[in-house]
Amino acid sequence: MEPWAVALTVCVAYLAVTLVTGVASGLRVSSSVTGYVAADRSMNVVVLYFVLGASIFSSFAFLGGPGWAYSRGVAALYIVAYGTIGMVPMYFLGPRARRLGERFGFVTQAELLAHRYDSRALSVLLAVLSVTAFVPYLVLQMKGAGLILETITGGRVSFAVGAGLSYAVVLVYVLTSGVLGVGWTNTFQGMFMMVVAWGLGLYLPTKLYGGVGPMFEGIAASEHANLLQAPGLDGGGGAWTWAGFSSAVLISAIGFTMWPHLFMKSYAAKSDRALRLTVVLYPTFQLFLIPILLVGFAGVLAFPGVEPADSIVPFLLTRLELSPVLVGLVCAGTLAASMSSGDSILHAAASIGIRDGIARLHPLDDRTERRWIRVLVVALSLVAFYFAVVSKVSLVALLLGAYGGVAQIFPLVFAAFYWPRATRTGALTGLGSGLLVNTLFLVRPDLGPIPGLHEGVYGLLANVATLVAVSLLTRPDDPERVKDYVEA
Amino acid sequence: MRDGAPESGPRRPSLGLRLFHGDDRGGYRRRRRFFVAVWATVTVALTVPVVPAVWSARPLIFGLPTSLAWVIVCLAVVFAALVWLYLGEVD
Repeated sequence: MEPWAVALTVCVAYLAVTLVTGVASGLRVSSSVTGYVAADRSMNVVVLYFVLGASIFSSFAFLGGPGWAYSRGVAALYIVAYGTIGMVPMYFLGPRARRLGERFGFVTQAELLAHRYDSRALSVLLAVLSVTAFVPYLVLQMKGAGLILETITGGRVSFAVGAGLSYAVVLVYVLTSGVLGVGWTNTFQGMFMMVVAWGLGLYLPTKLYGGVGPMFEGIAASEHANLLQAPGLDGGGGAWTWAGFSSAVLISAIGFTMWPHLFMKSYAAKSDRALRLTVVLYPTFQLFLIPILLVGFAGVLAFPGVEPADSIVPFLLTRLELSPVLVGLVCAGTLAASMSSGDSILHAAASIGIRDGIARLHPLDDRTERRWIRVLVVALSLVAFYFAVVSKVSLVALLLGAYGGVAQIFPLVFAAFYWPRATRTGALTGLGSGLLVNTLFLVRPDLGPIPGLHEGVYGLLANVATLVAVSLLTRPDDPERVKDYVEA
Repeated sequence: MRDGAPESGPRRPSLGLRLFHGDDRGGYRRRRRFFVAVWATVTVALTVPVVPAVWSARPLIFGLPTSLAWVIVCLAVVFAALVWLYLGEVD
């Protein structure tokens, strides 16, 4: 059998195992919306650990991260940096959200905020923001899946077919099993990813350079030494600014647990203790980024000039005369990274789009709501697939752009739990102004007074200033409702 | 000032932040404040080049550039602080 066929067979076997795991796990959950969206609030520490970890570590981590290490050097450290600090808020906010979810029946982030601020408009706005941010995130995952299969088969499996096949599997288990399907497949995929990442990350530098140390010594002594000078390079190959690096870390950290698909995992947790312990253990998951970045650095001297940089991992796999089974396993690991995030995003986007958007405007019974969530799962898959095949934007750029919008949710969540004086009007106008300013500087970065600063920072400044000022100028919210949140 | 005059209307919420519940003990609050201080310090350490040497390429530490080693150290500090916080909290 040809090597590419062996590798493809391994990938197909992985897809089959994932499909069976995902579909079978749905047999244990109730047929209600709470069952579909929050797994009947039953997830234990093990499943939560892998759901949170694997949902975060996506094509972005497995392809985009090494791609940045390869083309931008230590700029890729921003990925490790923001994950280090970004999960911590969940330790404090997550249990509060979980308890309120249990008490009031919440299964989404927007439900909690809309209840606290007593605003249907806020729910709809958050639904639009969430779905808008989710689409590029989902596109990124599909691109990763298509890229890896196309590269390791030498184009015999086209980008579109690769992405389509992988996400057809995701579609089936998300449709049948909801978040519990996501949970158990993420557990399998997370373990798989970690083994592949550590294996490849330590193997490649050893094979090419005799070890990690000699690899970095070689880069430091070469014409690519600037890759190791913090904060690394920008997208054009020039020196990245500290304003750019720092703001990317901060905005990504602030937005990290505000991603609706992560935030709403709080509701799926079995207990406060399970949720907190998951956060405590999360840095151990974060650590697997290190070998993944080493893979990117391994390509710098051995194979300069690979384009696009995001393809460095599959490129290395096909050039190094590795065992096709090993190539297949790494490819499957990359698919795992893509699908473990894609399924969570797809599931959350559809749930939020219906529950927080459509159902707010036109109330639905539980069964109808669940049916429409499934319809939206299919619709969003098709939209994202279209953009995945057509769009040429880099994987990391897609995600960084989305983070700025999502980070604007943080002031509302923080104020909901810790600032009794926050009002509905303050929250709405704060979020609105933050999104407007973020979008302005996203499309017109030349207008930013500080070159390289992430647009989300400007958005947050406008957001917080407006939230505070308007809240102080408007009537306080219902004290009993506020008390439920401050005392949660 | 009218001593003894009853309050009228609903009590207005305070303008400040409410970071703790009223019945949270002093030890619990100190622990959390300390943790947040550690976390904030790590955040600064990862975003502001206060000590440029930790962001340099050399020397290699266990084969890694100093900047990469520094980020790993920060990760380890956050992990240790989280473990300390979790073990000390009353559920």
